[in-house]
Amino acid sequence: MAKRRAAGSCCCPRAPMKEDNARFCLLAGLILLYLLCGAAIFSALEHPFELRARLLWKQQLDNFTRRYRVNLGALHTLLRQYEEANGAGIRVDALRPRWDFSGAFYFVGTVVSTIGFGMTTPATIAGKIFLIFYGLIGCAATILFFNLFLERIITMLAYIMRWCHERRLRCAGVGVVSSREESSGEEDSLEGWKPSVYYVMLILGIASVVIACSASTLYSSMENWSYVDSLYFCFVAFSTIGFGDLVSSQRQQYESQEAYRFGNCLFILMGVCCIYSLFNVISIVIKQTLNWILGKLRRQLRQLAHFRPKRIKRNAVQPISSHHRYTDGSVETVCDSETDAGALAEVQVGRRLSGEMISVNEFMVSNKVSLALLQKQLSETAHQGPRQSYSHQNGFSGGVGALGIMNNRLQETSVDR
Amino acid sequence: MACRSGCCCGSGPINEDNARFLLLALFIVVYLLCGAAVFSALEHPKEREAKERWTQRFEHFSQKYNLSKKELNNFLRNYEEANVAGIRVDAIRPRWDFTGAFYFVGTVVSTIGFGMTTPATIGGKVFLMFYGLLGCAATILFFNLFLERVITVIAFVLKSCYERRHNKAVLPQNGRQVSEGNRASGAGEELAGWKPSVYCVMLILGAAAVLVSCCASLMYSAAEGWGYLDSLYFCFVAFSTIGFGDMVSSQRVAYEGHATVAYRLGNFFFILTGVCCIYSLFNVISIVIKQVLNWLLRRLEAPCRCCFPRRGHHPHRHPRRNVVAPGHLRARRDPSIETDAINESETDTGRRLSGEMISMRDFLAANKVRVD
Repeated sequence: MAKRRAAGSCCCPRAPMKEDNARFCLLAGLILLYLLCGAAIFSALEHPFELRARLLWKQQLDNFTRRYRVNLGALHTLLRQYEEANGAGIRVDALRPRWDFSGAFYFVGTVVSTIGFGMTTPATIAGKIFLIFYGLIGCAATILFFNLFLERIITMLAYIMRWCHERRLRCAGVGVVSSREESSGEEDSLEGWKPSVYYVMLILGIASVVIACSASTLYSSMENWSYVDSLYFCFVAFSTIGFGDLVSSQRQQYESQEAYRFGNCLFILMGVCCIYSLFNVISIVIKQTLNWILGKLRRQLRQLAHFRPKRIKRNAVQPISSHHRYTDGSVETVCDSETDAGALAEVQVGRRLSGEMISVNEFMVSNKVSLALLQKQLSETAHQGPRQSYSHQNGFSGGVGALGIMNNRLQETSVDR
Repeated sequence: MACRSGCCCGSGPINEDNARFLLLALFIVVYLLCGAAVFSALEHPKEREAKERWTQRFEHFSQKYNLSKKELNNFLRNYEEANVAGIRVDAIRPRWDFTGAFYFVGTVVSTIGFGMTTPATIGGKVFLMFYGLLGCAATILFFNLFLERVITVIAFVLKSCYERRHNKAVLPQNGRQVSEGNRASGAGEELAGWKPSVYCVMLILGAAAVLVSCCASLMYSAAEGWGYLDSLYFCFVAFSTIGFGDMVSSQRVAYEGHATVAYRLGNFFFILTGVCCIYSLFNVISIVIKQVLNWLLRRLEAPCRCCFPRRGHHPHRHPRRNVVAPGHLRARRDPSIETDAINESETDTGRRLSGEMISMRDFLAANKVRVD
């Protein structure tokens, strides 16, 4: 225990930082690998079509110049001018105006949500400058909106799932005797309960699929796209990628135009919210996978280095070393890490379960220390800091999304919400 | 502090989280409407000009070469299709060779989505949906971890500056012989709860973002021949992951000075760094916006505040050090991920704030309660 403590006091402040950096680098490496594989697959899928399209265009160009005896240079100039016109939103088949109020509204919608289709882009210098400042605040506010939506939806799902859980427990009988607290009983078993990230991911996934499918039926009927194209458009729009090769609601005239435009707006809003939440929940699963990989790597390294295993032997409280631990703890508040949660919980468990006798003096001192530790744990648990005193850490322990990441790391996110 | 259950919420029919969410939604709608009006006023004249100009050119061309409008339009439709496959008048780099595909998947997982390259086959579109699902989630995680790392680094740097200033102030005054442990723990204790202010972090991130954008713009305006302002505009559009696609970097087949490879690498690193910085900046600004919303909510609720203070509206912000009081630890049983923890914190800070004495028995009971 002492050796571990000694080791802990010197490398513990560094270990959480090392683990965070390791996780970050591992993720970067995996994403790079993912990109390389994706590039290879897409290249294989699309390159043939591109070559064929080039050939086709060359033929069409040749045919046209020969048939109408048009000078190639002049034709190229016309095509360049047409490209310029494209930038201003002009197409052969007339589209709705770009910059009337509703068109501009669609534009700012694509800006703040960061979808950015590109069917409408500012051409004036003033427009571009205004866009930079407008987008700065607008995108931040919309990111906040999506993050709050994420929290709201997870709260709601947690509430529903907890209610189901309670009902199941009640149906299963009152035989829920907690081994720890005689007074709490059923409350205790639900106190630390949080929904599993896999359930939430499943529910969000189903919701996204439902929204995407309904939106696709709308688009395929109104825009005359195929169903697969509509699904593709839904995915590209809702994930905020927003290529712009397919954009909904661009024609000048639709039947029931107002209803369609409203439906388009609603679907895109709901879709982006759902897919954004789904992405964040999937990212929790990915984070857990990374932690698992890192854990395995570390265990292998430890075995190689004959390191003392992580589990702390049950032991009596030692006031001096606990004091050490406390000072370590204060430094650790700077470098938050999820591993510390487990370590702290284990330390507490070790102390609590030992049957050894200690003097009142030692008890008081250690209580003072453990009280300070508890206060720290409490405040961090309460503010959803990365450390959790709950014995079962599920994916949502650290909070969800960017707001969860920043929770308890800044002054303003520590005291009030 | 007695009434903690969900019935007497103190804010009326809507709880604070929902109120904040709705208020934000309302503000965003108003923001969109105002933005639409401004952009429309700025851009509509130019759009009309561009339309007129194109109509003139079209007519001029069709007259000069004796073409019917229909034939010319058919030809232009063909050209539109060719555009989708990535063909332009002036030859640009291939879309779907390996590096082009790499640029494409980069714009997909970062959700920038320029659109200069888009899948045309059905297989590509279906594969994109599944590929993007995992890739975007992983990249969101990457940006979030980067945000965490950046805030940790900034906090560490600011804290060491603060500590140095603090030690300079403390050490000369402290004449007593204090044990090393006490002094360390004392300093640690006072700084244990210290966290950087969001405004500081926002300033630092903003400066970093501006620096990255300006450097990137220099590179782009030199390599692509864009104006400096256009390059800044491109940087903002790319780094914020909006990605219109009206201007896309690194599209030419070759760049002068045999700098093609260097430029492509530089493009990659600038976009990566820029997106990370701007993403972090957005999130930090969003905290500030959240503060503003909270302040607004408080102002709105001030007239209808009840006799007992609302959660989160403590008259004194900084918690006084204190002992835990046992009674109210589990009074609140809100099952939400966020609110139950938050509510516990309010009660805890309250208990921690009070100066009461409690008996040894209560103390032990309290300790015992929270250990698990």
